Amino acid sequence: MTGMLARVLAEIRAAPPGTGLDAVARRVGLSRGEVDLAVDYWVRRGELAVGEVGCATTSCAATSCAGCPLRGPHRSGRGLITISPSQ
Amino acid sequence: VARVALVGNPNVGKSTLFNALTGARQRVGNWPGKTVQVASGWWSTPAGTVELVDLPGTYSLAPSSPDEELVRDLIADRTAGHRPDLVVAVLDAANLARNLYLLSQVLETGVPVVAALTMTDVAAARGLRVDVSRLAGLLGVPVVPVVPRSGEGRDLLAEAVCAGRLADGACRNRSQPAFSADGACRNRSQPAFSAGPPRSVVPPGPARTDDPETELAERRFAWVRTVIAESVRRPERDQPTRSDRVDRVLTGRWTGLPVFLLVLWAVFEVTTRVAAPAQARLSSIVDGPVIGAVRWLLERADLAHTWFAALVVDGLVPGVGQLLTFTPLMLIMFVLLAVLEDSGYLARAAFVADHFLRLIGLPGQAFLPLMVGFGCNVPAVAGSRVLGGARQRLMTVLLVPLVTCSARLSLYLLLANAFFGRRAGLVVFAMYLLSVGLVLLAGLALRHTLLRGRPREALVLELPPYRRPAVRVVAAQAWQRLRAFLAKAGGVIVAVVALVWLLTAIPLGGGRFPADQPDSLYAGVSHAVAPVFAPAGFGDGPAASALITGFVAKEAAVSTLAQTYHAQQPAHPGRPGDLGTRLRAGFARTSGGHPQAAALAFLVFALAYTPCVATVAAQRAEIGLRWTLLGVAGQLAIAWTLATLVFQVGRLLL
Repeated sequence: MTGMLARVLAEIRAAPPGTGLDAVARRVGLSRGEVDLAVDYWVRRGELAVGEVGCATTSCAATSCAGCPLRGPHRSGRGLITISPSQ
Repeated sequence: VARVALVGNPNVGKSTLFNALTGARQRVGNWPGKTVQVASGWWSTPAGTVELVDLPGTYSLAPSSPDEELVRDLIADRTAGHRPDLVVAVLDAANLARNLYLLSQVLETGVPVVAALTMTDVAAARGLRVDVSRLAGLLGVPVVPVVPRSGEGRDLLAEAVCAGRLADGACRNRSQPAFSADGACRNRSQPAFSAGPPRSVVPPGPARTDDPETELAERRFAWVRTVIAESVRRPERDQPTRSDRVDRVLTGRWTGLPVFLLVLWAVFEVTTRVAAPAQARLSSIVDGPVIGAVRWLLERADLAHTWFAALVVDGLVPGVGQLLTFTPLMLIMFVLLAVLEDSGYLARAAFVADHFLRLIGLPGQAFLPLMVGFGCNVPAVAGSRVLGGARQRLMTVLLVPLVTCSARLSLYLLLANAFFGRRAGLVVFAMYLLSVGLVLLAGLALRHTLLRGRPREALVLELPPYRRPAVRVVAAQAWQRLRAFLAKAGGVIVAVVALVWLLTAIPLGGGRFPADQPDSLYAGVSHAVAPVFAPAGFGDGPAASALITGFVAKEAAVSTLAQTYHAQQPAHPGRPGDLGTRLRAGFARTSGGHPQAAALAFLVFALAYTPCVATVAAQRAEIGLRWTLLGVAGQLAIAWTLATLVFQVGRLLL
């Protein structure tokens, strides 16, 4: 018997690239809020990694970002959020 | 005095509620022994004053940050001296799942709890109807709807906290009252609230997994789902929000890309049109009063006829001045980018670009470094490390130089304004389009050579909510980016301008130093290279010298043009120092009367050839010398072929 948390993780692992969490929610029959909760749990457990496009220092591992348009006092939560299985 | 703690997820209105309850009677400071800031204040309730503590927002009592650790320590750790007498759990009615998960953990600690239900208006707008009485019954704690901003429900919450009863009867059927009698919170010597024993909210059932932690989480999750299913009425079909409706257009399969291109075009159109007067004014100031003042100073210092004067007047001032004239342009563009980013649109643009890239088979995560490449190719090359496979990294590192970086923008703007006037914005936009097209085409080509059999990747993408851009954030962001650009470009330009001046000062076949421009070493090399560009319509020394400098750093190409054209035609009739006029004359001469076609070809070459030596160095570090040299050769070949093609076709049309 598989729990819903495990089902969400499996769905994200199998999702085609570019899938949104709304699509994941539809596939597993959960509300979006419930999927957010599941993602949060798996991120805490280290199974999923969440990144944000818009912060070069974390997303590109660059040693220098002078001139980068994504650099600066970026307001967290304004970029595209990526959720991937941890390596 | 009794202590009450406000606990809840981030962004549920917790701090707004705290302000509404305590008013001005509050203080903010680090929690003893922690670096976490906590606000506390005094809350007047019908039964007396209690200390209210606004704990940091958290999603779980299994901490993953110092903030969450403090909340866990305070609530779950019974040995801590600061344990609150009661917790007000703030629940977001529009996102109950996450809130209830935290509540389940809080309830398990045994601390008395009152729930404050916020965002009921947002929930109603989404078609969600929360049955407050049913929710309170299922949770076993009083639930009080509150509107933190207006203070609505404040009195009921106070009553529930101190008396353990609710006016709407939501908790009348609770089997056990959570609190002691009225007035208990006045005196700390008596137990303020009757703290019950820790209780588990999770229902028993067959094990779903071997991992005890996940098993417990699954049970909590199941409890959360049950509570929501029995207390929240949902619409039969989820009602799309305004954000959903906008997203359907901005990220739609058929509409996303045209909107993205339209926005990009608008950015460059506004940038060039709005900034043009400021640019012209700055240019005239540099060419007139600034040069005049520098000459006057040099004469006063008796240096007017020295090599130093030549370096300053013919090299540094025109070069740095040319960069400064682009400051308004860059500032406006950075402001527009910041507005797009802070509004949430830039994330949509990235989403659209990602979707489009996948269609032609580029690796899913490659858009991360490619997006960064629009700013600067150097961190973008380093950013390829986020990609899993060696072939993907190789392909991305080879593609990044084709992404037009911000350093190239100054060159685009100069040429576009000089040759295309009011259509300058369109030309710059076309350069960005061409850059995207080149990346896609080169990616397709590489896919069939280097990226065969690429493994499938999972990457879920989420969009941030739309927001009204904050003036403070936009201003700070634009300023920091402009400062970074000027700092980097300024340093490089001074170095390159000095080097170019030195090379232009060294006489090729012996003679006086500094040499006249046509007799210099730099002119000799440039003229030797120039015939290579003749089929592209810009086969003369100054254009070639700018491209050679641009190989070192694109930021310096504009200043080299200013330097070389100024030296070549020092006394242009009418508008001395007007680089645009000199460029038009120079390109008209080399192109056989088709200066616009030659300028377009020059721009295309500048776009496609090697961005700068720093990028080459970064590429070498990532993919080795052999692939780097192959990439540089490929870029030069693409640049020359495209430029020649553009000029040969363009001369028939322009």
